[in-house]
Amino acid sequence: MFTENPYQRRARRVVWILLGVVVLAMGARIAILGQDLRVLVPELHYYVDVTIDVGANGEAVDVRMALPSDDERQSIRSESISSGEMRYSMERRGPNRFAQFSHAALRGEADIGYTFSASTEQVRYEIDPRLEIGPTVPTAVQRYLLPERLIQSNTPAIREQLGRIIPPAERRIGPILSAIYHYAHEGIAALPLRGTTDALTALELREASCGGKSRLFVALARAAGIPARIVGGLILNVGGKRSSHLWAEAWVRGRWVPYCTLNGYEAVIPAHYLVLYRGDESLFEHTRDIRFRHFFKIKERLVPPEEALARLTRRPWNMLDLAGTFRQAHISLELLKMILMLPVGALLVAFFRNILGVPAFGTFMPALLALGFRETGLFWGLILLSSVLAVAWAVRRLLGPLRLMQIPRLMILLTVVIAWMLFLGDVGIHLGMLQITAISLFPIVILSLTAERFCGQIDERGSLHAFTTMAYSYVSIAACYGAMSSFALQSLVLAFPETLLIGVALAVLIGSATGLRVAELLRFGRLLRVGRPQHKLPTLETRGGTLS
Amino acid sequence: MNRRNYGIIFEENARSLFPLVNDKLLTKERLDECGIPYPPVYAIFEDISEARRVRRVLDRFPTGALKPACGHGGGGILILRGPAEGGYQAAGGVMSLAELEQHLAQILLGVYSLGGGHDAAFLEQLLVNDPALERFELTGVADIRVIVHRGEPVMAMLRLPTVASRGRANLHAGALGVGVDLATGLTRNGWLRRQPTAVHPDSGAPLAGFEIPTFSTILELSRRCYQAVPMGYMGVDIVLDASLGPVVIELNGRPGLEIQLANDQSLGDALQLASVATSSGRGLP
Repeated sequence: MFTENPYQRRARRVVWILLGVVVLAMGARIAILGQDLRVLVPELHYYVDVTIDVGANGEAVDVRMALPSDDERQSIRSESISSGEMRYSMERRGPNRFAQFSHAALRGEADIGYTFSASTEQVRYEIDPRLEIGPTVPTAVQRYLLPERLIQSNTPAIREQLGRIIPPAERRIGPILSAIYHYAHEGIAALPLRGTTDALTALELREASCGGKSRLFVALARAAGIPARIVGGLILNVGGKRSSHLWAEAWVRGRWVPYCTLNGYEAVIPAHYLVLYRGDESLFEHTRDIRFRHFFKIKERLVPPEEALARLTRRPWNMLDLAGTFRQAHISLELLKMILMLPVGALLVAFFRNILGVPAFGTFMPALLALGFRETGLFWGLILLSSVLAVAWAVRRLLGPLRLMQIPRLMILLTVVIAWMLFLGDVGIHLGMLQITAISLFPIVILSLTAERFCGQIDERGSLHAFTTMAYSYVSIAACYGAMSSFALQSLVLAFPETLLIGVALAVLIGSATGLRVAELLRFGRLLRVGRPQHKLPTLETRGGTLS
Repeated sequence: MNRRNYGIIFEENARSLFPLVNDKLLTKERLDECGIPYPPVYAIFEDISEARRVRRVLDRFPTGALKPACGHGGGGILILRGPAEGGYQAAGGVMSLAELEQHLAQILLGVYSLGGGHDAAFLEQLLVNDPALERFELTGVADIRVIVHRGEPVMAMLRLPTVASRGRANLHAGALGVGVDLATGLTRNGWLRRQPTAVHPDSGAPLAGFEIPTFSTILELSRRCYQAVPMGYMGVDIVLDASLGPVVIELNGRPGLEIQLANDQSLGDALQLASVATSSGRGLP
């Protein structure tokens, strides 16, 4: 009597049409853009925001900051300096660039800001094992053989230590550097950053932070006749921090080979290391006895590849390049990414709800929350969400005796939630934990809405039901976050927005009888009944009856 | 309306009891435990993976009312009256099995419940009006709503469906509310969409003076509902079924105020009278 569902046939036809459109659009895009396909795939860059707070009581203030430079493995773009009341100038000295800020008579506080975008590469060096230390080095690098105040390469202690770790007849550069590296890396215990340590102190104490270890490495290398120098830089991981990093590099036949004796990188510089200066300079120098605080904020960004983009803007069909078009309208790529990834998250929510039966508050709340966790990351985002819900629940209980009506009650709840998030944001900035600072508008709005729905659910179905629904939502949120933050998926959708039609096709399948069939096969919902009100009512079905 | 909200309910009704009345299946479980009659349930559908089970269930139980467990205002309810050409006979015509599965899926996804994104559904026995109600020539099942205050009935109303309400007894949907005298069980005049009326709009049958059968049993059942679910201020919906007799179909933690109109008496007054009566140890007038 009931053969195939006619709507299913229609649904399947729609799916095929959609897939066809996707294939055609992708094909057209590839054919027309040809080799410039690369323009559609953005690169991953780091976006660094340096802020400096300076305070004085009327005296003259000078601040010097090392600025990163381009080299073979790193390129710096989109630099911007805001010097506020201070006067700004820039100078080059040797391989380094320095920004100079000065004020004749600073009374109170001044803010300095420096932002830039960096793309970096990992580079690994292989030293030919036959290379030996030559009798002379070029004039340009001779200064890197000389001792310095903090790099006491000519002292007996250093020379003795060198004698202990290197066999007397050894002349080959590779093994010598390797032995020095291993001594500085493993022979000297690691300490967290603590002031400035010179080479001799590191040697004596047998423990040091990155500065001491690196200077010891440089001292030993110079003592062995290999030019070497300190490198100051920044480790690029998403988040906020105050500390920079020091490592070393040794000169081998015209190339500077990097060695990080703290984190264990021998003859390799990883992609997340950014070079700020070379030589034993310092990142910041400033007038004594003034208030000085600095902070690094690092984010990851998708950026369209510059050269390919420049070529493309000269072609007539560049409207196929979504990223380029939006860039011309000054709409940020970040916003574009958000807009394009939301359907992906929504599709996942549809799958979780309709196929697996995992519930949520509000139709697409898990996808919106995942989007709101962009700045905080998934882990801290969920912690933040949990804290907001706990605060909401507590407020609800506290307001109980007042017997308020629902909407004013929710307004109070919203106020408390926002106050809580601002408080957390403040704490986060002070502790340098940017991960809990979700101050931007979108996360505040979405977290407040979720808290409101959560409390509404407690009213309707009880606390236990609300809490378990929330717990299940965490699974959906995590899945959405994983998909929406996937660089590969973002690049694909940005390059070929028509792939969203594949999502539409999948949604058609999920929403049709096919979805019900898959749900029946998976029977995931059974597992979720833990914690929900169990309906134990005896029914005619379970008692084996039929209608009389 | 506001006085109802914070004056009465928030004094009387513990928040923890609301889930028990919002989820009709939990309500029935409680009624079952206390021996209070209710329309028997044929089958329960717990989650989306059970949506396709509806065909097998209907093979065994061809007629019934398919309802969301946490629905309100009658939303999402399907009255099924057996197989028909191309599907099943429903209120608006024939529904195909595909449409039925989709509708049940919607219920299970929480579309007809308040938030939470999930609900259960159940198929229960179709109810039939007691023959005494034939005079009104109704197109749907009528019910009696009794407002119970701390275990004592304080007001009652007979709710008659109309063509306009499409067979539903919900006043918001356009049904007729007829006031009932608690002492005698006799109906007074009615209210339709906030206008007084003396006759049923479809059949023209007069409303006043009808004696509700087994009214004392109905009042007794509503008292026992307070024992089952001790909400200080509650609406008990009872149907006089032709074969089952009076059965409790629903409990309401937030019963509407129209009952005042139907009875031409303010609830505040009725509650005052009730507390005077109980404190003086006398029964209600």
